[in-house]
Amino acid sequence: MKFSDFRGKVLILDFWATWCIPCRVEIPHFVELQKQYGDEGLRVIGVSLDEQGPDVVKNFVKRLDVNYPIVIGNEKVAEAYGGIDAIPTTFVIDRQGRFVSRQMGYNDKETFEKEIQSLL
Amino acid sequence: MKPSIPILFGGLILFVLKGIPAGSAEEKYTNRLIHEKSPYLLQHAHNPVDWYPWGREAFDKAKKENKPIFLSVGYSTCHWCHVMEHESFENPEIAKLMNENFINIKVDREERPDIDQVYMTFVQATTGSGGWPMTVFLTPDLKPFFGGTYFPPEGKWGQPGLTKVLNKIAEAWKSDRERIVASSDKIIGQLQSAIAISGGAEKVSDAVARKAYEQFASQFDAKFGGFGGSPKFPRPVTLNFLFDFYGNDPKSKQGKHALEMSIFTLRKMAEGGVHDHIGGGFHRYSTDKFWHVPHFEKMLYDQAQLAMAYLSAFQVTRDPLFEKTARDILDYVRRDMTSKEGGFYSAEDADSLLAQGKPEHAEGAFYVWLKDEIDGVLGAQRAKVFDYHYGVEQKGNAPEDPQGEFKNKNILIQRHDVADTAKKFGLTKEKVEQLRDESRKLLFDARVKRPRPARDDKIVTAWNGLMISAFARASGVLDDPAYLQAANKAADFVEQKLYRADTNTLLRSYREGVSDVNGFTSDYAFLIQGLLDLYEASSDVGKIDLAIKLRQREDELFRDVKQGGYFSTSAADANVLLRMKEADDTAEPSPNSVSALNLLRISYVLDQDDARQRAEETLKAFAKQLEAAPSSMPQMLVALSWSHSKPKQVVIAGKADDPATQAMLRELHRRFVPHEVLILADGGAGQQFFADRVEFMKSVGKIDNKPTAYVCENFVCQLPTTDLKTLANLLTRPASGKGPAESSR
Repeated sequence: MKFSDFRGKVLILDFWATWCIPCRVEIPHFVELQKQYGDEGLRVIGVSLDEQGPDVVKNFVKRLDVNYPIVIGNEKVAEAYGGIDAIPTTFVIDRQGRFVSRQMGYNDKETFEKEIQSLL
Repeated sequence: MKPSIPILFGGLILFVLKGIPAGSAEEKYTNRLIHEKSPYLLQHAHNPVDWYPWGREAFDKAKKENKPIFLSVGYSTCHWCHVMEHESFENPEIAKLMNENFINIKVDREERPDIDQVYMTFVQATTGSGGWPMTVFLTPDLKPFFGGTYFPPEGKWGQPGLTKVLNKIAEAWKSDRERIVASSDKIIGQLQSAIAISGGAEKVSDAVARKAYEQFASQFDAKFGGFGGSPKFPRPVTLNFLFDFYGNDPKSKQGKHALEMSIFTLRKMAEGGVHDHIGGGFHRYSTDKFWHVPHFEKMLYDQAQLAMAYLSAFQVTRDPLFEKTARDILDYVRRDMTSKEGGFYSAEDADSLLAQGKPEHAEGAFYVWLKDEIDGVLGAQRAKVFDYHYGVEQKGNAPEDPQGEFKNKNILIQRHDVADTAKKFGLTKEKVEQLRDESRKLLFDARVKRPRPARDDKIVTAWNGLMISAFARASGVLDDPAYLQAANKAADFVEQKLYRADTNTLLRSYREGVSDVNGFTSDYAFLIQGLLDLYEASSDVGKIDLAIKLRQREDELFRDVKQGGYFSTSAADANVLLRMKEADDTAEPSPNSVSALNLLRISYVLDQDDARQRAEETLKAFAKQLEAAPSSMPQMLVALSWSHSKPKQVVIAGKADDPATQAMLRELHRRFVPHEVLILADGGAGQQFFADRVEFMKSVGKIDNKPTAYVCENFVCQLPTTDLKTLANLLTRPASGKGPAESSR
């Protein structure tokens, strides 16, 4: 999966992990947003920073009915995004591939919804 | 219920002449209290008064004979309770008057705080003050109609004499019973409806903590430490609040000042005569503003709470004085207040015999010294340094002695610090410390030969909970496994003897067997707190498991479903006329304050929303008092501060016996982090316990096969780290979250 595959879409890029409670609370919101705005061009991508192997993540994603792609990240990926030292850290990227915002910590659904509405 | 009798009357009465009950077979009188377990009740077993314990036998007799009940409530270390006993209850004439006209019941308030609370509410409502001994007259159906505290046998100090009161009431009961019964019905009705009024509100504002800080700041004694004038109480709940207030905003002027007030107070108390410099531990309170002349009784609940306050002071300042003081309290409790099986005893009395085998006794006799005695024990060289350091004088050192009670007697108080003493005698500080420690040991050995004060050796569940917390926290902060062992042993004792697994209930106390009194809210709340602290110190999930079970039971038995918070008593005992909620944090914290904090901690450890909800309900239930008089609820303010902050949740993934794991745990324990919960993910049964209850605990594990710390706070989780230094930074730096307002947009 390459970043350029999503050119022309509005992206939410969410760095998270299964052991992170605030991340877990956000995920159902992303599932809803993907459902509501997918047709208009929203793509949510989750980057898990779990280090306990893919099974932990797979099980978790299945239980939460995640409807968007999840990739397993590593330090290199985190570096590429300016270094992630706390999660959740979430980027919003517009259709031209420009970074619109970077947020650390939990945010509610409305905050993301407003932001992507203005970009879609 | 602060004003106990000693305050009402002030001062000390030494040389109260009274035979200590010898317990011989030749006793002239023996009443039903001889079958009781409470040391306080046993003290009255040979009174000529025909005492009954609280219970059906007494109630039935009162109903059958249609006599009013004379209820007397006290506790074993209560000085004026002993005075009233000696003056009145040992007096055959007064006893005759009581036996003919009343059914007489004696209650130990430490065994039955529920009964105490009901009738104290009545006494305070009708007389405007209260204290112990408490004296209340009841109808045969247990409704109070007249009450007070201490009564002298004959009128004095503007107090009516007990003889007169007994006669008047006996007369009135004969001539005017209907009116008395009607008025008792009315007052109980009034008290019930007053209690039913909700003190709750929808919200508690953030400003109450600041308001409480300001109230404490205005009462603070900047010269001698403590709050207000004399008498001065240690008030550990206030110190807890001040540490927490500091921890919330350590850089602010107010935060720094809060810390200063608590540190200075603890320092002055450690130097003072309220501190037993020879045997360790603290006396109940100081009668003067200098912390010099105490009331000499030693209570378990004070030792527990003060040890914790000194541990916090040590965490923040690293000043060895605070470590030393915490250790001296804990070592005193281990040596003198711990049963063979590991439970902790309740108290030591203030009074003791002046000489073995003679009846004369005096308050503080075990603790005070003539200068000549000290000099004789220590020898001239050591004594010179010791006497200067501790302010020992030939004519005695009590600041005031209007009644000649302390003639030539010295209550040790640090008058000159080590540096000052060293300078005075041209010694090194190390030498002075060495001489001081040797001298203490010599005086300790000399003092052991004196007659000891009586010890109340019942083992109370609630106070054991507090003491378990103190030992558990000490084991972490001071990295001392001996303290962990003391905490574990006591917890095992309580679980085996004072907990019924089949019904999931606690009992109140133990002495030569378990008492049949069920536990009160304070027993549940303080023990749950002890178990949570013990889990963090030991990583033994069995402790969390029991804490959760007890929390469940506490809800079932005591929760006020309508208005939030917890009643002190269950609804089971129909003979307890009022179901009340304790709000004030006094010598002991209110069980509501402790419960609120327990619930929040449980909610963060186990991600339980309902626990969080119960905590919020409890805080809201006391909203009006928190707004109106926040300084009356300092421990509740600590719970409030937890609820408003976002505590650090720290998970350490690693084997408990791995030295690298232990290094991480030490890093956590040694620091003062005001709001923190700690979980160990051991990859085994301990982790499974959590994984069965909390989703995220399934996926926490070691990284690169090294113990790993996961720190989450304020809706943000830091990336896990295996590095001690990184962990230290995560623990000390302020929250990196939160709020959309702080996003880097």
